[in-house]
Amino acid sequence: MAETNQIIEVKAAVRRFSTPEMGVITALDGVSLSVQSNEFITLLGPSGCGKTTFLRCISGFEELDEGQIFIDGVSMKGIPAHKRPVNTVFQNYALFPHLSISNNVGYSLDIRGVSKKERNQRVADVLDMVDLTGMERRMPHQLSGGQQQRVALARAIINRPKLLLLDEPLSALDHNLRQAMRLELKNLQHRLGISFIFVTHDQDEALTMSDRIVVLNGGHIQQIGVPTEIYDHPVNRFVAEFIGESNIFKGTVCSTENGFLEIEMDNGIRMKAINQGLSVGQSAELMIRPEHLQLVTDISRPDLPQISGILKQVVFVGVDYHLIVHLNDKTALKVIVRDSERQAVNNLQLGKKITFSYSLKTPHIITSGLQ
Amino acid sequence: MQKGNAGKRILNLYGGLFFLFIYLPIALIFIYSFNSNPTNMMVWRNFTLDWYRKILGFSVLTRDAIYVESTDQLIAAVKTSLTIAMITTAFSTLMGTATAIAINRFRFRLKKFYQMLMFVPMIMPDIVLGIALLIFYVGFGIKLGALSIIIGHCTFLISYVFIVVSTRLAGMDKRLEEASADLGANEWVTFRRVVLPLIMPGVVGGALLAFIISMDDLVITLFIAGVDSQTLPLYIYGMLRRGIKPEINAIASLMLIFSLVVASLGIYFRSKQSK
Amino acid sequence: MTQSLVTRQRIQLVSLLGPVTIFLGIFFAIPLGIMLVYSFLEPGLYGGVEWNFYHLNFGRILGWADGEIEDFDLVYILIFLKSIRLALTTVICSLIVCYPAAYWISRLSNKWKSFFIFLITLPFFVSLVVRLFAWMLILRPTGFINWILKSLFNETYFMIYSEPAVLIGMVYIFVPFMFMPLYASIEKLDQSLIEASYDLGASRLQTFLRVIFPMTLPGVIGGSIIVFIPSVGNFVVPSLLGGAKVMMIGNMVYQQFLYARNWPFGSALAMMIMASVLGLLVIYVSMVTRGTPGSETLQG
Repeated sequence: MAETNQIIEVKAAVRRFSTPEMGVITALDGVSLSVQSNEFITLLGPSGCGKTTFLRCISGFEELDEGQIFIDGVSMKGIPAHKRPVNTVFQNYALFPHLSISNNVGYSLDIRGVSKKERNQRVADVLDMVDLTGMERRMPHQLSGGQQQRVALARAIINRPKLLLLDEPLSALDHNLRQAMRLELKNLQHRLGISFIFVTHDQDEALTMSDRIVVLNGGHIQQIGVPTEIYDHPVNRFVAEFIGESNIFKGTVCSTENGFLEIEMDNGIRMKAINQGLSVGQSAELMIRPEHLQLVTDISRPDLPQISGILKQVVFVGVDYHLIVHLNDKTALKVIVRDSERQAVNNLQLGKKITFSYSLKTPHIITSGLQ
Repeated sequence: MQKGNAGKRILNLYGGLFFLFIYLPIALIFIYSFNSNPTNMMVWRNFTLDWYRKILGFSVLTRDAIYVESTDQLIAAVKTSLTIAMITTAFSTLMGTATAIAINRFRFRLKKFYQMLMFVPMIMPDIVLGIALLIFYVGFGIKLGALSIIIGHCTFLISYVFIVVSTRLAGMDKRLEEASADLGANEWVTFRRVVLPLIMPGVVGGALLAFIISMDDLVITLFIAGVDSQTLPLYIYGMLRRGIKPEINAIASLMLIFSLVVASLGIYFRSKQSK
Repeated sequence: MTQSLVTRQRIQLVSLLGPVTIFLGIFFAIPLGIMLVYSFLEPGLYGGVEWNFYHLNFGRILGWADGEIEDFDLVYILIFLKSIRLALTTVICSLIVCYPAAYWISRLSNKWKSFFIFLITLPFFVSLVVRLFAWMLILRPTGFINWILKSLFNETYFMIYSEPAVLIGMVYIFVPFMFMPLYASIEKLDQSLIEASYDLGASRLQTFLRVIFPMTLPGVIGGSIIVFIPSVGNFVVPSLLGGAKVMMIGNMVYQQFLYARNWPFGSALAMMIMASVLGLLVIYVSMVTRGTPGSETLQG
């Protein structure tokens, strides 16, 4: 493991808060992570999971109670925020209202007394990178939200830090702008070769933009992996439910053969999946994504396993149909059917039996993990 | 609501009367400062600027305005008041601002205590504070004079500045200071480049407030001035106790105008909001 | 040298609060403490103090001049109660004067609002002596009102150096004090609540008593406290507009300190003023905390 490749290493970080209402809260409970250079890594989790706290501990606005943070091999213990080699893009941008765009962006250079000529050049360069050429003289309040966000970005990257922290920078933007900015950020990261630690609660963002995703909940890391890994093979129920839609059933393994297994759910339904090392009698949870269930039509493959239930609801959402099917009257099965199968969907009747098939590769077995 | 209209007119009338009540006395002083009648101030004789001339040290034009006391005392009192006010303002603005920053940007256990400490001097009746200071000075052998007055004024003016600056600080985004640190500025640079510019209207407003209150203070100053020093309010109070002289109008008018101008500036700065 | 974040903050905090603490500790806390002590000391023959416990300062206030029952004289208590009465009257009068004005301004458009508020706040910054001088001019036998009366009716009326004159002076001085908190409360009034009251059939008086006034109570109380406190110990207004006829406890304190030179007794009188202020605040705080569940949020 080459030391030079690791930009930041966090070891067993613990951060506690004491609040008057609820006593001591552990915001981070033994979090360990290492980020490589030129990597786009996303911290994903619901509000209160500790991701913002984690970011603030790295940037130096909060101190760890236990554990260590190394940036480029150097321990950050006792080093105040303004001396750390990281920069942050704040959620509300935190642009200095009394300074022009040029003075905002060039702030870190002005503090260090960089020569006027060099400073102006670098400001112009970085504004060009974020498509804001010529805006030097404007004041923050004269800019739109999207423009302000890019100024915040420019201000943070002008120093070419090895690591950039972004705290939900897109959350204040409207939907279309958000989509556009996602791509821009990703491109920027590639161009600059800087590592990005990106915090968000939006799983779409995480899946689209990241090289790796760190899923956090309750101060613990639930899973670290590339997006496809997180999506296809969540290690526990939380991750499975937090990312994408899922159907999760509890059951017991009733037979294993040829590398496949069959699970009997608590609701009596049996499903088959690839055996991931379980034996008969073990209890496990099976997850299958709604889009992996195929509507059985005349031309379906008969060799695929099937599952049936009563159709309860069909909702059209433009791109897909969302179906709710009741199995054994107790459990609900969510199914997503593409618009391309509109014909078949139109022939469905509510309250009647409906059957789906699925490929054996698609169900994922969750052996209990940390919650 | 038909009741509305009659009610509205009455309310408007009341508003007019209210402002009349407040400003008529002040206006009277101003108007009658131009009356040349030296014996009965309310009976109008001639328009004259003589009273102003006399108190400012010029010679008079009409025969009426000859019975005026020496202006040296007056000018000395003005000088003393101004000096005291300026030093008091400087000191209390510094302290008040420092305290405001401490309370608004730091987390610490004694915070509530300090908030109360700032609050107490303002609710204390001035007479109590005045005599307490008098006892203190005499008891410790501190000479009564300009310095004792300055110290006395500061004890409660720090609180005034504190409140004005606090309000301003509270309205300021804390993240801006974090952003500054993130970009490499230490606390002092952050204060100089980010915090101070943004709270400056509050600081200036607080300073002007302190200045004018110091200039106008009577009760506390009365107790701790001693025999040698005299401030303008003290001078006027003494004159009023001895008997009303016509030139008091002119002096009072000038004080009035001065106070109103400075106060207007103070209020202007205090209400300046950042977008 | 690496210091932790906490140490760094601590150093900054101390340098920010240190000077103020020392200054106020020496020049605020200690003087008040000494005054408290003085009120229990014996006055010396020629104006100083004797350092022995002397209960008769307060005794004198309560009525016993020399500890002899025959010399029981309630003069000081009476003056004290009169001062409180005058202060309360001042509060009520300024409330009555300010309330309609505040209401009127709150119904104006924003531009006019700021203008009039500015106008009302302005006199606060004119010196006490100047503002009281104005009323001396108005109320004197040769003053403005009498000049009008004389011109119109050939009558003069002696109105200065009386309690009503002092009251007018006090109200005039304290109107800006009462106005601001009152206005803040009135401004927050939800107009729709008033309309709802009319809609449900209440008369204007009923609406005022049942909806408007109760909802502005915090402002009323706040303003009352801010007016009461300086009113109780006031001596400038009585001395200029009351002459020798109106004596308040503030005047007594002034006399004891600058004329009679009986500082312990003066301190004791001042303590009475403090006691009334503290008593009021205690009542206020207990009223406030009875309403809310007593939760105070600690600001981080």
